[in-house]
Amino acid sequence: MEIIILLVVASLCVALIFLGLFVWAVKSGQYDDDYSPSVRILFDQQEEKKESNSKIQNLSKVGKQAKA
Amino acid sequence: MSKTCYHCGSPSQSWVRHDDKDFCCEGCVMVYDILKENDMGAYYDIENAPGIRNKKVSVDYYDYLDQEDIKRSVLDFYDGSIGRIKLYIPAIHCSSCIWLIENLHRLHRGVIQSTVNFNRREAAITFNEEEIKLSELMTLLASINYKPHIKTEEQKKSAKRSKQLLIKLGIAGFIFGNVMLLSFPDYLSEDITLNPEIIAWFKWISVLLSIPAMFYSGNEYFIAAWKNIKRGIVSIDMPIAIGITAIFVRSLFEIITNSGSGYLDSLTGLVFFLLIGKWYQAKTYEALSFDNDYSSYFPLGITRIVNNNEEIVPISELQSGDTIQVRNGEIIPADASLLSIGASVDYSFITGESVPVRKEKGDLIYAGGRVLGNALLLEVQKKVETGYLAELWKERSATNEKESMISHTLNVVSKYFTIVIILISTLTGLYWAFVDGSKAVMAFTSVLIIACPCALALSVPFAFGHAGRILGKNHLYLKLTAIIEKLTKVDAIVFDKTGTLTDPEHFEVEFKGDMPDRYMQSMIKSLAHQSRHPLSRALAKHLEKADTFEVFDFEEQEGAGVEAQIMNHQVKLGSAQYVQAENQSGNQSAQVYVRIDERVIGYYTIKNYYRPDWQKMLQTVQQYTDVHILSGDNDAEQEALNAIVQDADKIHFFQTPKDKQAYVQALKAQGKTVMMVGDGLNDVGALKEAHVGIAVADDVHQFSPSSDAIISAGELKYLPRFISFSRASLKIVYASIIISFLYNVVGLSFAVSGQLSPLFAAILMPLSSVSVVVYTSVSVMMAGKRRGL
Repeated sequence: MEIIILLVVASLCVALIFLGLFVWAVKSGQYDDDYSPSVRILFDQQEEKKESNSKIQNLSKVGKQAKA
Repeated sequence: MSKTCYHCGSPSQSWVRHDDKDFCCEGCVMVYDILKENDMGAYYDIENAPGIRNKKVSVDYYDYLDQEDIKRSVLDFYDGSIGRIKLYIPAIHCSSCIWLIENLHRLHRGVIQSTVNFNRREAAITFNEEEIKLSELMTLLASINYKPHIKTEEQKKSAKRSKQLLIKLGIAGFIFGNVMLLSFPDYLSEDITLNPEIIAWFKWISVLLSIPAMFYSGNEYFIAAWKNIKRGIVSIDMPIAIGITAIFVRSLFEIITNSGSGYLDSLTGLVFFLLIGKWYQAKTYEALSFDNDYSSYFPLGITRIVNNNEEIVPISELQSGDTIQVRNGEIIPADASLLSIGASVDYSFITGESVPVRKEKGDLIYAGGRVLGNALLLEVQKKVETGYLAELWKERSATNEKESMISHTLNVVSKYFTIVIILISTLTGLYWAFVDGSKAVMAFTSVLIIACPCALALSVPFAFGHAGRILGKNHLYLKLTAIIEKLTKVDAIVFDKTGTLTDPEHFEVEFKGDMPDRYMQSMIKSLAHQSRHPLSRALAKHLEKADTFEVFDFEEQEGAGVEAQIMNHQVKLGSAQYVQAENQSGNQSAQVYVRIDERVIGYYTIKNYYRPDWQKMLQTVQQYTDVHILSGDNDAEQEALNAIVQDADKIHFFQTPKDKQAYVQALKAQGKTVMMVGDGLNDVGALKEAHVGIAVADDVHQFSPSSDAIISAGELKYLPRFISFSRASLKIVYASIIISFLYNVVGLSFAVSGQLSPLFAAILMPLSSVSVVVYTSVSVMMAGKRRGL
C-alpha cells in the first residue's frame, strides 16, 4: 500500500507542472485577449486573397469550359 | 430599409453621395478615401458599416510627444529608432477595427507591427521612428477616427491586477482539486480501511496545499476585512475571513491531535468558488473604463514661448513667470494669468458646469480648465506641483463615488449576519462549556465553519455580474454592478429633452422665403457657427456644405439672436422681433429669421428630431414611476410633450444645467429615488446629483465623466425593459439569499448540537455554493430571455 504515497507524490508533481504551465501562459499574456485571436485567424493577407480569388475564378472557368 | 451611412452606419438627414455610396458626413467620406487609396476596402467587407463617426470637432495636439523626455516615459521600448507603445483606443469595437489597426503598416510604412487586444481596447504598435514620429502615429490613428490615448498608470495597474486574479484562480482550482482527491478516503465508508499512516500523509499534504490557497489566493478577503474593521464597517469580507480562519485553525487542530480529518476540502473549495465569482464580475466591466479615463486627458507637455520661439517642455519643468501657449481643446496645466485679450474656459470636468467661463486679459485662470476657441498665451503664476491636476480631478471623482463596490443589500445583510453568527457561536460555546467541556471548542468553531457565508457571498456577484453582462450586451453599460440594485428602487425619472429624447445631430430644417443662394448660405453658416445656441448649431449643421467666411464684430443677444459683419454685410439671425420682421404664423420659438443688410429674406423652421419610439417608452415608464422632463430649450415642443406627460408641473423649459441639478436635488429632498437620464457632457451636474445618472451617448465609447451608466442612444427605448429586468434580478438575489439561509439553518442546527461530521460539512458546503451559483445564473438568464434581452 505504501506505493500509494509515491503515486500521490508523482501525480502532484505532474499536476504542479501543469499549474506552472498555466501560470506561464497567464504571465505571457495568452489569457489577455480571448476575442481577437479568433477573429485574426480569419483575416486574409490581401495579396493571397487576390490570388486565391483569381484561382477560384480560373478553376470555375475551366470547369465551365469542360462542361461545354 | 432605411438608408444608413456606408462608413459608420448611422442614419442621417442629409446625405453625401460619393463613389456610388451614401455617407452621412464629410468626415466619413474622408476616412473612406484614406482607406480606399491604400487598397484597404476589406475594412468594409468584414463587418457592415464598421466606421466611427467623428462628431466632436476637436483638434488634438500630439507634438509634445516628440519631446525626448516625454517620449521615453510613454514608450515601452525605445532604442533610438525602433519604438513600441501601447495605446488605449476606446473606439475599437468590431472585427473590422481589429483588421484595420493590425494593418496599419499599409497606411504608413513606418509602422512595423500592430497588435490589438480587443478586450482592453488596446493596440501595441511597433514603429520605426525614422519613418514616422510618435506624434505622426497618433495623428494617423486620429485621422481614421480611432482616437488614441496614452495609457494611464491606472490602466496599466488594472491589467496587472486581472492577470494576478487569474493566477490566483488557477492556483486555487489546482489546490481544490488535489485536496478533494486527498480527502477521498474520508468520504468512503468505514468498511474500506486504509492504512492510517497513509491517511495521515494525505492530511499533511492537504495542509501544505491549503496554505497558499488561504494566504495567496484568498489574501484579498483578509486584507479587505482588516481595512473595513479599521474603518469600523462590517462588510461581507468579515464573515468570510472569520469563516476561513475558523476552518483552517480547526482543521489544523484536528489533524495535529489526530481527532478528525478537518475541513480543508471545504476551505479550498470555498476560496475557489469565491474567486470565480470575483473573476466573473471583473470580466463584466473590463471593457469599459469610466473614471480612470480622465487622466488620459492630462497634458504631458506644453508649448512654452521663450524669446518668441516655441518649444515643447514637460509640464513638470514649467517655472512661474514662463509664458505658455495653450490651444483649443487643451487643458490649462497650471494656475496662470491671461496675456491674450479674452478667452472662454470650460471647467465642466471640475465643476460640472458646462457653460464656459469668460476670462479677460490679466485674469487669473486656475489649472484644469479646457480652452475653447483661439489659442491663449498665459503667464504661469504657480509652479505645477506633481499630481496637482490629478488631485483636482480626483476630488471630483471621489465625491462622485456614491457608494462602495459592494451591493447595499449585501452589506446590510452581512452586517446583521456577522453579529448574529458571532452571538450564536459564543452562546453555543458557553452552553457546551457548562454541559460538556470537551465539546465546547468544537461546537464553537463548527458554528463558524458552517455559517461561513459562501452561498451568500456568491449570490450577488453571480446574479448581478450576469445581469450586468446581459445589460452590456444590450448596450446599457454599468459602472458598477451594484447600480442594478439602485435601478430597481427608482421612483422618479428625470429626462433631459435635448440630446436624450431628441437626437442632437438631426433636425428638420425648412426654409420659407426667398431661398438664399450659396453665397448667402455661407454667410448664414459662418454666423451661426459662432454661437453655441442649439438653433444656431442646428442651422450650421444644416448648411454644412456652405463655405465659411471670416466674421467680425460678432454680437450675441441672449435668447434673441446673433449678428455680425460678414463680407461687408450686416448679417442678423434671430427672432422676428430681433431682426425686425413681421411675425409669421406657426410656432415662434422654432423660427430663425434671417436679415442681410436691410432685407429680411425669410426664416428657417427648425424642429427637433425625436428618437424613434420615445413616446411609447415614456408611456411605459410612466406606469410605475414619475416622469419629469427638463429642457434647456425654449417651449416650442410643449404640446408634443404634454400629450405624453399630462402634468404640466413636470415639464420645464429654459433649464440651465444648474437648474437641472437643483431640480434633481429638490426631488431627492421629497424622498424620491431619482434617476436622471441625460446627455453626458451637458447634464453632468444633474447626473451626479441623481441616485442613478445615466448618460445617453450616440457613441458609447466616448468619455463620460460622472455617470453611473452609459446607454447607447438607440437602446433608450428599451429602458422600461432594463428596469423590469433589474427588478427581477434583485428578486433573484433575495431568493438566493433565502436559499443560502436555509442551508445555514440546517447546518447550524447540527453545529449547535455538536454533531457536525466532516462528511456532512464536505457535502453541504460545496453543495450550497454550487446550487446558489447555478440557481442565480440560470434564473437571471431566463429573466433576460423573457424580456427579450
